[in-house]
Order: sequence, then C-alpha cells, then structure tokens
Amino acid sequence: MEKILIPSDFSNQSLQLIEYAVLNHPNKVLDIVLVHGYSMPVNYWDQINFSQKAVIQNLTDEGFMEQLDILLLEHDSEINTIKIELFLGTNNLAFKRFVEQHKIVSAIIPTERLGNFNRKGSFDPTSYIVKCIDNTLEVCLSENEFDISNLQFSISDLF
Amino acid sequence: MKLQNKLTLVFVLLTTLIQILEFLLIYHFARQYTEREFYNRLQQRVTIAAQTLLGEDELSVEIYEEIRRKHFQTLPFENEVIFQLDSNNNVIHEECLNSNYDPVFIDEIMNKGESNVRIKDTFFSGIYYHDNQGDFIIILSAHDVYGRGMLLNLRKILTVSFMFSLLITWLLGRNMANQALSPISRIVHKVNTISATNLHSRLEEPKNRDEVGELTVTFNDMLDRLETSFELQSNFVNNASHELRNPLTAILGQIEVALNKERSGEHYVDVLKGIETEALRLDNLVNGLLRLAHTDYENKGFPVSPVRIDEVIIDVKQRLDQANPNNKISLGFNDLPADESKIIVMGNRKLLEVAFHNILDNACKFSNNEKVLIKLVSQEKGLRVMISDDGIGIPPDDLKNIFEPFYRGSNARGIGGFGFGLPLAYRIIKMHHGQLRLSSQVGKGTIVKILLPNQFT
Repeated sequence: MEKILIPSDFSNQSLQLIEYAVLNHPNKVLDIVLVHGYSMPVNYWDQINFSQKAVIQNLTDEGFMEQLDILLLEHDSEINTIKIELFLGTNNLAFKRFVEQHKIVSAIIPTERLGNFNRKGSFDPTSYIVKCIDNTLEVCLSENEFDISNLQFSISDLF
Repeated sequence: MKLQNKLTLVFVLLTTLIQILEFLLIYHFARQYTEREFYNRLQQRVTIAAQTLLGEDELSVEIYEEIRRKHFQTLPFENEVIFQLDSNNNVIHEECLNSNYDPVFIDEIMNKGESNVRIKDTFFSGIYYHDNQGDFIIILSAHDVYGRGMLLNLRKILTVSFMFSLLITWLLGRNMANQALSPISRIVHKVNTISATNLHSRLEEPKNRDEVGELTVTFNDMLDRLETSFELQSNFVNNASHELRNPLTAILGQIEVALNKERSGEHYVDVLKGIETEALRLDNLVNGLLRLAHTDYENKGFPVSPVRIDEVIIDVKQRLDQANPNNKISLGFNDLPADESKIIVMGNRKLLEVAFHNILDNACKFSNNEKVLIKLVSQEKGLRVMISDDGIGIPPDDLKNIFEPFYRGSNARGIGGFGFGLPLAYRIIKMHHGQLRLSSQVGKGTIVKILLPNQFT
C-alpha cells in the first residue's frame, strides 16, 4: 500500500492526477489522499461548529463524487481508497505534520496550477506539497474537462 | 465613414446637444429674471404714481419730493392711466378701459388687487387703489428697452460661445478619437505586416489589460494557433509525401533491379511479391487517408443505429487476436450494469469498430504486446471505456499534437505505423459527441479514456 497525496480543487479535470498516480506506481495498490486547502474560520462560533465533513460536502458536487466512484471502479485493482482531506494549516510545519499524520510517501501535482480555488476559504496547497514532500512528480493535464454533462448527442448531426 | 470620424461626429453631436439645452435654459431663466425685475419696477412706479396723484393731499411735500427724486428717470414709452370706480365698483368710462386692456388683466386687478401682463413689447402693471376720494384702478405701461438690450446681448454671447465651443469640441473630439484608436491602428498596421513567411511575429502586448490589451492578447493567441496549424499542415504534407514515396521508391527500385538483366522465373516471382507487399502498404496508407478525409469532411450520411459497446470491443478483440495472436488484451467487463440499455450508444458501428481497433492496436504495438486492459464502466448518462497499457508512453510535449494526422511521438520512430490511427479514432469519438483523453507517462504507459453519451443522453 502506498499513500499518494494529490491536490484537488474538486474539478473533474483535477481527477486526471489520479490516473497519473496509477501510471507512475505500477503494480502497486494505492491509497489516494485528495487534499484541499481551507482556512479555519476566524469567528469563534464558526470554529466550534466547524465540521470537515460538512465543508467537503459543501465544496464538492454530485458530479465530482460520481467521477470518484467511477475512477475507483475503473482502477479497482490499482486503487484501494480515495479520501478527501482538508488542510487547515497556514505554514510548512503544519503541512509536514499533516503529511506525517497521513503517512504520505509521494505526491503528484499539475504543471499548471489548478484554477478552481476561488471559493471562500479555499486555497491551493500545491506550494506546501512542493516544499514538504521530496517525492513529488509534476504532470501535464489535458485542457478539457472530462465530463458527461458537456456532451450533447444529436442524431441529426450524424446525418 | 471611418470609425475615427464617426466617433468625432457622435462626440460633437452629443456635446452640441447638451450645450444647446444648457444655453436655452440660461436664456430662458435670464429672460424670466429680466421680466420679473421689470414688473417689480413697474409695480413700484405704479404705487408711487397712485400715492403722488391720488394721495397728494395726504402726503407731505418732503415725502413727495423724495419719492420723485428716487424715481426721477422715466421709463421708455411710460404711460400711466387711472380709472375711477363708482360705488358699485363699476368703472366709470368702462368702454375706454375695455377697448384698451385685456379683460382678464382687469379682472385679476379687481380680484387680487394687482396684476401684470405683457403684450408684445409693452409691459403692463396695474393695482387696485382705495383712497378717501374713492376706489381707483391705476395702470402703468412701459417698454423694457434695457432688458431687451440685455437679452439681445446675452443671445449674441451665447451664439458666439456656442460657435466657439463647437469648434473646440470638434477639435477635442477628433484628437480624442485619434488617441483612442491609435493603438488599434498600430495593431492593424502590425497585423498587416504578418504573413505566412513571418508567422512567428507577435504584437507587443501592453502592460495594462484594457480592451486593446485584450485584443492584442487575442490576436497573439490566434497567431499562435495559426502558426501551430501551419506547422501541422506542413508536417502533414511532409509526412504524407514521405510515407507515400517510401513504398513507391521500393517498388521502382525492385522493378529497376529486375529489369537490369535477364532473371529467372523465381526471381521475378520474388520481385512481384515484394512489389505486392509495398503496393499493399501503399493501399493501406491511401485507405487510411481516405477514411480521415471522410471523417473530416463528410461526417454526414453515416447510418446510425443502437450499438452495444461491449459487443464492439469483443469483435475488435477477436479481429486483433487473429491479426496479432501475441497480444495480451484482457477485458474487464465485471462492472457492466444489469440494464443493457445503459451500454448502448447511438452511432455507427463500423466507425466505432475502427476507433477501438486503432486504439487497442496502438496499445499492443507501443507496449510490445505487454498487458493491455480494457474496462467498461457505465454511468448515469454515458459510458466510459478505459484502455491502459504499460507501453513506452507519450512525451508531454507530444501529447498536445498527438491527435494530428501523421504526427508521431518523438519516442515512436522505431515502431511501425503512419500516425493516423489515433487521430482517426479521436475524430470518430468526436463525431459521436464523445470525448477522448490521454494520460501518459514516458516509460510507464498510457491510459486512454473514452466517454460516450449513451442512447438516453
């Protein structure tokens, strides 16, 4: 079992990184940890009511979760689990502890940074990954979203 | 009309319109003020006239003199008229009053005690005056020569300043339009200098991202795309010529050697077999090119029917097993849905077979017949086909061009093929409104994922 850390902005495009994890770790069963940077709320009331699960549910949509399930089906022999975690720290030390806590051994990051971190509280943890994980591989992602909702079939187009 | 002139014209028209409105308002209020002031003077004078002419016996001489001194100057065309009222408040000599004055004006004096009216250039002001001698209506009329002169002067000033500002506005508008459009003129000039010979030239991008900046960036992006497509087209022609020439050269070479001297019958048979091999290669190549051309330009008219993708894949595998018995393609159909309609695609079976054949053939070829896994997973609105291999992979720089005909990865030179198998598959999937995506790592392998909308999408 090998734990791989992958930054995610919860877009379908970011899931291509999981395919690269599979490609780069042949003949191994992987535990994938998708990490999303999130700033802890400043407000005291929000802090005591803070729930990672609720935040993740809020940030992800059904389409993304469906794609995760499909990825697990497609790579059932290569991927054991895919977990989503929030990184709530603000410095390298906190990220190192996060890596140690999750027993991460390597990471896959995109060459061009993911662009969907514009929701309130979200941030891209890629810079922490580069600084804190030695075994980090950069890969180039396809530009287009791989999403069935973009497809519209029209029989008339084929005639 | 040039855009610069249009902008200037619109600017001048708008400014002129605003100025005309402004000047009309100024003139209107100035005229109102002048009239009001003149009526005030008339009112004062009519009051004085009443006091001097009717109340003379009740005023001291000093006061009368003082009043006279204050209003010494008479107004142009000044005329004072006093009408006495009888005990029933009827005007004595009423016919004289009615023939010279507006009845509404007189009624207002009787009801409100005072009234003002203007008829042409003459201003009238009247009051109702009660005295120990009886009741009177006193009317004073005059021309406002001073006010008229002032308004005339104002009209002249406004007209001259309007003409002057029109000129200034036109000059400013022209200058502004010129300044606003000069970056566009520069872009047009620069773009006009770019041709097929210097497609690498780019426009200088301004630091600030305003509309012109965005236009420049858009032009540069377009030039990038043009340059890439020019390069690809050029590569296509080069590669196509090269691939077509190779078998022809081989055929010509073998014929030349065979005709060089008298040969045995067996030798001629060998030569003909060699020619046949090269001709078949040439035939494959031309057929492939024709298929590409068909998918590019004639993607209409293909018969469409419900196609079960698992069946297509099984047929393709069987054909590949015959052509290449050493392949290690394994099918992963464990996760197929119970409802078979979810794996049915509306499309052309033959074309889909070509697409899957090309992808699977490539997977076997570039992995030296290592293990190739094909999986079919159904989702709500479509189905996904994943083909993974442990082959040589595609370098990241080649990934973006890999769907161009005849483009071959830099690490695929030693492996046979023409470079149009994957582009053809890509076009066929696109024709079926699907998506094809590659994830590849050099030396590790390639994952091809195909997303096809099912018949319900």
